[in-house]
Amino acid sequence: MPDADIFRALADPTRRAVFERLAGREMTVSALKQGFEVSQPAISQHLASLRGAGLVRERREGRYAYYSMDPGGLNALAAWVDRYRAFWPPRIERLKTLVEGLDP
Amino acid sequence: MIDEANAVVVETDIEAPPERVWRALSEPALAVAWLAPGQMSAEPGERFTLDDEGRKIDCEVLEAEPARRLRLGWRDGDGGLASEVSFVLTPTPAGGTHLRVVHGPVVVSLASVRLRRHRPMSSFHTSLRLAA
Repeated sequence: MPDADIFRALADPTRRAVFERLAGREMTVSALKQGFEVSQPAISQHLASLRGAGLVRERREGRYAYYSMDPGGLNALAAWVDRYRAFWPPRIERLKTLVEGLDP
Repeated sequence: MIDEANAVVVETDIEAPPERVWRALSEPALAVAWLAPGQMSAEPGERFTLDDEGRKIDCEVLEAEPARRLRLGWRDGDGGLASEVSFVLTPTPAGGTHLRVVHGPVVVSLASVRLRRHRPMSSFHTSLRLAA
């Protein structure tokens, strides 16, 4: 499962910016590099981390590689949010009931 | 730090002083009753595992100020996502406690993800105020 690395992969500001630039489109490394003050190998390294986390996918066409957001990674993030949005409210209700019933 | 714009936030008022609320966060026997089976701890550096109906959650106490604040590292088992949960206890004028729970990834902004997803996420930020 690539999930383990999703939050960590996005914690780096440059890597996050690379990821966000891919929203809704496919780009090559050299197109992605425009506007970033880092080298192309550094961008490639960020893309490798994002791919490792399941957030970005690569499509090869001849000599070129195109990168885009991976829906699988986005779904893992959405699943995390859904899980904890449902997880906490009933537990905090139970905590409240429990504490209010404790002897002073 | 947790970026609250990207977190699940739950708040409630409890009719008991912070010291008593703290017991529910720091005593394993009480934590089992509201959270999940496991040896919950409030000793900085301690690690423990919760069993959420068969799903393991690995926790580590990152910060603990008795009756005020508890911060846990939180990782869903089997290679799940790593996050943080903080519980902040504030005394109320009536002698009770305002409890604020914030659970989220550390330093992640997902604005563009929200905009472009196929199935829209209504909001990554969830703030719930439970009835007092």
